[in-house]
Amino acid sequence: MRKKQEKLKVFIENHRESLLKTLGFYLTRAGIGTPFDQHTEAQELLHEVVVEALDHADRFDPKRSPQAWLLGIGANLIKRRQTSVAKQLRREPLVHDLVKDETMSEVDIFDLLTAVNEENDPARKFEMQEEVQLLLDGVSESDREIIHLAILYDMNGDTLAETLGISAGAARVRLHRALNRVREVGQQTIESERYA
Amino acid sequence: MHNTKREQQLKREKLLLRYSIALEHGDFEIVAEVLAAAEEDPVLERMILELNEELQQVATATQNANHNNNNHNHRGHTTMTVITGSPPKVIGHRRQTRLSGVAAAVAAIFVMLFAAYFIFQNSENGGTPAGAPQGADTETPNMTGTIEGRQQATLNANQQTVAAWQIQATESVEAVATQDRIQRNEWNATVATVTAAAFQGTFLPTSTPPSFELNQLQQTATAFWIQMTLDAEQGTFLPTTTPPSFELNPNQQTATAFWIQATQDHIATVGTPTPLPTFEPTAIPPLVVDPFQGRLDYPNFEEIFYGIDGTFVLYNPQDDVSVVYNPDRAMRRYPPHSTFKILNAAISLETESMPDEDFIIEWDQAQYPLTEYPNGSPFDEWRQDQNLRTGMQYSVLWFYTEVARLIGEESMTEWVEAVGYGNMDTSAWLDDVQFWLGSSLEISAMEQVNFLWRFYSEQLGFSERTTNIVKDIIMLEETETYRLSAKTGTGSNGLGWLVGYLERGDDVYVFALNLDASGDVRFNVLRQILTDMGLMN
Repeated sequence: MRKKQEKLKVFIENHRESLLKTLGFYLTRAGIGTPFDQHTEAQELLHEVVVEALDHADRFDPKRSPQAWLLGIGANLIKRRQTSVAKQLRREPLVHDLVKDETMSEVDIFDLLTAVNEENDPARKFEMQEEVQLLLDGVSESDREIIHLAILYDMNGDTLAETLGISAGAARVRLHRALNRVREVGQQTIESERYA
Repeated sequence: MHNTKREQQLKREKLLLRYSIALEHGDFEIVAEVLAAAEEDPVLERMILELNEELQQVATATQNANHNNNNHNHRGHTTMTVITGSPPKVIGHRRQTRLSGVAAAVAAIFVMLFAAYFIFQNSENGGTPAGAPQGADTETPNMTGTIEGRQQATLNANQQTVAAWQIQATESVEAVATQDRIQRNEWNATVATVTAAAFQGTFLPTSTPPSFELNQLQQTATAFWIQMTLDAEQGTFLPTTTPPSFELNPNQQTATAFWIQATQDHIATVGTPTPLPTFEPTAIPPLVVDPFQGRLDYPNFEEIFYGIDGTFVLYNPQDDVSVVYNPDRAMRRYPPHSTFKILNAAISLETESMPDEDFIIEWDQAQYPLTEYPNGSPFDEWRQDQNLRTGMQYSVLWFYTEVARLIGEESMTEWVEAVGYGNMDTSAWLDDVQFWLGSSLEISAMEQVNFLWRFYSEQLGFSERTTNIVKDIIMLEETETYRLSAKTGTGSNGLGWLVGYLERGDDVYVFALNLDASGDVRFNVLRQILTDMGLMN
């Protein structure tokens, strides 16, 4: 236990700045704090993460990198805060919330696109390709390009990044945004069919 | 194999997408879930960190833009800001690191080229350094005058040239990123030609510098090169050290002295481009620019080992070259733990302490109660009678301790010394026999490879029968294209070993991996490396 705590302490000391930055970013995404008090909020959160991590160091597997584990603790702490805020603001679900659950997500789009490559039945594959083409026709050329490279041509993040001449993180952000736009096209199609 | 890898990558991409959407919606339940998956998957963890970095940069840029536009809405955004079109072109941390490597290389190459230019000028001027007093080639050159004269005239130009090359290299890397591999090979060839030409004094300084991106090995070689220069300046350089050994004629000595001075001044003026790794010139592994001469791909070691301290050594006896990732650690000795079972088994057969691989030793429950071990594999397999084969397969400690007892301390020590295994220290036998478990015996990854290759090629004095039996019992996997033989080793401090060799037809590749992780991570890392090298498919 003490050895694990020592290892965690060393890691936290060495990665303090990057942890603070990421936790601050998480807080902003969670709508907790403002950009102006983000640093203080992040410091408080990091403090909580450290206390939690050292208290439960026995659960930490020293063979693994502590980064994801520590950020996971941070995410859980944020979730806890969100839950407590939500309890304070408890309300009946809105119709909008209920409809949202039936909509298409980016993960659905991702599944559909990846499934095309894996489909063995030629007729079904052709059908799926047509569906995909319809969706892709609704987005820009650059969105189509990145989706083709990443999913239809199976490029991993690094190859994709090199092809596009940007970092792997930037390539994935672009891909996720492109999928979001495809999702919007799909959603519009569904809605226009629903109200047609 | 390919499908499995693809499925695994798709799974990661999907998890990353879920993470990205969850962040956008502030759904930290999903964020925590994906992070939990990343705890067990260093590649996914790395992907998340890269995405975080990019999102944070975009968020900062957006905040700054909002601030500059006098947007007084100071609440933090709860949803992701969508920027249409191309995202801001941000050079990420990895790229910066890579470019730092490039900068280091450019600086080193530049001073070399400048030295070459100097040599060239010398030869053009009948051996007299440009700007130096006539006759400097026939007596000890007046370095002060020469260096100072050129320093004033050239150092600013140096910086300009370095900057220009950096820009060119950056643009070229971006422009032809897809031809990366071809570029590396071309770059390797160019480095070799330029180096040879520089030392012969025939390099033409007007040659266009190649655009390039350095891999780990090249960065290490470059770092060595810079270190060598500094060592030369401090008088600690060993001329016999590889690479390269050379004897300088007076012109070259003049040029080298200038080169040293220019390097020192360059560093003093623009700062060290990148931190130099600790390097021990007297213990350099065989470093080669392109050990596989373009036949094999270089794995991205940094990516594969991401977040884990470790080393990997692969010896390719066909070309007599090695690839070493993290040479510093590759030369550091660690207890061999269960990898010692390979030598233990060989000695037991050779000394006839064990008649063959099927000879059974009964499990003595009184002596080895094994109550402290949990139920489940591999400990369930430990609680039964064993032979050399099963003892190797399940890495049964009690069995190989008994094997060592049968061999006896004297014989064991003789053999360990005879084969030159690591530090050859078996003194901890006196305590509890198990001298290979975090006590006296230690071995480095380089030495493991050396040992395994000599064992494989029957250079250790073991009979053909012994060698064949041990080879047979350490074989793990056989496919149509390759055969993998290896042994794991695990230390209580988290050290993980995986050593062995991969046979492809008549070729063999001997490897040793050690890292601060055990379990499946070792196999994942090894598979990724060998797959990326094109050896395991």
